[in-house]
Amino acid sequence: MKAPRLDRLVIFSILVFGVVVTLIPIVVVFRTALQLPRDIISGGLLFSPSLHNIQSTFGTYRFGRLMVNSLVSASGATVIVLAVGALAGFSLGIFTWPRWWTALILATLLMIQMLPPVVFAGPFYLISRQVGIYNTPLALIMAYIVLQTPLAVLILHRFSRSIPGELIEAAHMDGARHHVVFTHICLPLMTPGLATAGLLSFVFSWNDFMFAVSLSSTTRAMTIPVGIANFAQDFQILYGNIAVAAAFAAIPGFLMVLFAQRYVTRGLTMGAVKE
Amino acid sequence: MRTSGSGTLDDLFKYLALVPLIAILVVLVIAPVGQLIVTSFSRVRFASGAVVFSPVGLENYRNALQDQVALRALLNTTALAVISVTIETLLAVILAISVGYVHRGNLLFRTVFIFPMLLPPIAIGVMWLMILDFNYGVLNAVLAALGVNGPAWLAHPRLAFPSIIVVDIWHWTSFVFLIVLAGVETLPHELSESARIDGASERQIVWQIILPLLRPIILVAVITRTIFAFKVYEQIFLLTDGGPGNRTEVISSYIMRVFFNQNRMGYAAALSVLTLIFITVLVIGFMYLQSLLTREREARS
Repeated sequence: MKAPRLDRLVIFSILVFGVVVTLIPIVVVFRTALQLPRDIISGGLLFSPSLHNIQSTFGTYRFGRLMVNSLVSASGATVIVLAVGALAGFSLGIFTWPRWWTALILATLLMIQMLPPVVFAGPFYLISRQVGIYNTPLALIMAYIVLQTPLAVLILHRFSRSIPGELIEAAHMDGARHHVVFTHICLPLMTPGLATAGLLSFVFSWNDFMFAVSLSSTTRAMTIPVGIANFAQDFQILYGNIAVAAAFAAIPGFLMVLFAQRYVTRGLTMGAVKE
Repeated sequence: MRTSGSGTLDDLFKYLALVPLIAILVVLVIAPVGQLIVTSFSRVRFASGAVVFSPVGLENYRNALQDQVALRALLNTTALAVISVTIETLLAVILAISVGYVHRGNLLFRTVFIFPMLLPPIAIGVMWLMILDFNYGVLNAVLAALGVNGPAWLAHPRLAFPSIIVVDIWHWTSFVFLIVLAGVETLPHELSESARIDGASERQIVWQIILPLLRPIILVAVITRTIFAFKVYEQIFLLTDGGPGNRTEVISSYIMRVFFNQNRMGYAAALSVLTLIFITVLVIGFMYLQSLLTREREARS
């Protein structure tokens, strides 16, 4: 679209204003992360940057361990979600099922996605205590599987339905079995779908706080967001450490929006917009 | 030739491939919801490591209906959803249409505007804590430099809720933007082009061509976002923890508090079941509304 000059100026101003407002909070966190405690307290606008907070966050507060926990729970859940999602997407998208059955499954998944996750927090806590996985990454993986499976199945179902039927029929004519069709034809064609579902599932699990805080109690399973909350609730609020932790917590989302934006956009529009 | 044995197994693949999903739905969704319902009729305590349920009938539900804090949390969440989603939609539509006009730098704007949604909500809470904090916040430092004594944004009875709304808008405008932008990118250019040739002003084109065409996708974005708005939790936990005096208490923060801090697990379960029913009714209502509007549009065209 091409607009006259005055309109272009208005549009440009709106966009620049939007960028500035969006970036301010992010800049503030990076700034605080590099400030010495005395500069944070004095509130002056000028200061000399220091790596003190990064050192103390990783040294004194065992932040590395929290990062490992975040990585393990988010990637563990993502692997399982992708396997389950690819199989279910294949089954629902390629084979003929009664319409009510497919509709029932998709509606159930949509409903789970709509529910406030807090309704699962209590039950998962009790289950993890009963099964004996409380305060282990396994408990978090269990929760993230439930939270992320719906979107993954919806995305992969959509992708598997776009696979041309002739391809599958041709493979069957050549005597290929269903599982071979799945691994040799559908999976390669679903790669963009797997990337979309996988990235979203990873980043949303990594970002979670509610389940991490209710299913862990020590650094054995605690993830970065829980660490941040603990820093914030310390009797002397550790601003520098909080800022460092928040900056590290933002890395996956940052990488995704920079290098995989196409997948994010497609995946989330698919989750929301029906064809 | 296929052997009959593997042939049967092959026919079964359709069902086998669905088993993991069904297993997850049964074990991790239906069973927990079932347990939630049982819990909501019980008093729950831990006795030597085991979880003990003792039935109390409708007591939890009777308490819930008289609970002023629960009512407050429901009203706060609804108000937050209505106010934030309205403003988010307005901003997102303006930004998405504006980005649609830009050719060079398009990617930069999209990247920045989508980013907040992908950040951990707790990190967003941290960012705003560093801006809004009474003592060390950037906002009050700037105000001090201008000679103004900044208020306690997060602890003031009148300012806490609006502050939370600002944070929510910063966080979630990105989601509405992303959905509406998908609509903007599929707009037929020919329509606005020919209107422009016919001498229509840019303002007329936006109001009379672009916005009507975007209406269905804006509706989808508003509905999805409104339902998601009822999930709000992390920022409130970090910034105000429901305070001052329940003024920013929402459904999630209250249920978490009742379950984990007050250890009234049966009561929290009853509140969760009521939330579940409330959201289900809301979703069905919205779906009905959406189908009504779609039918009306189809009837008109």
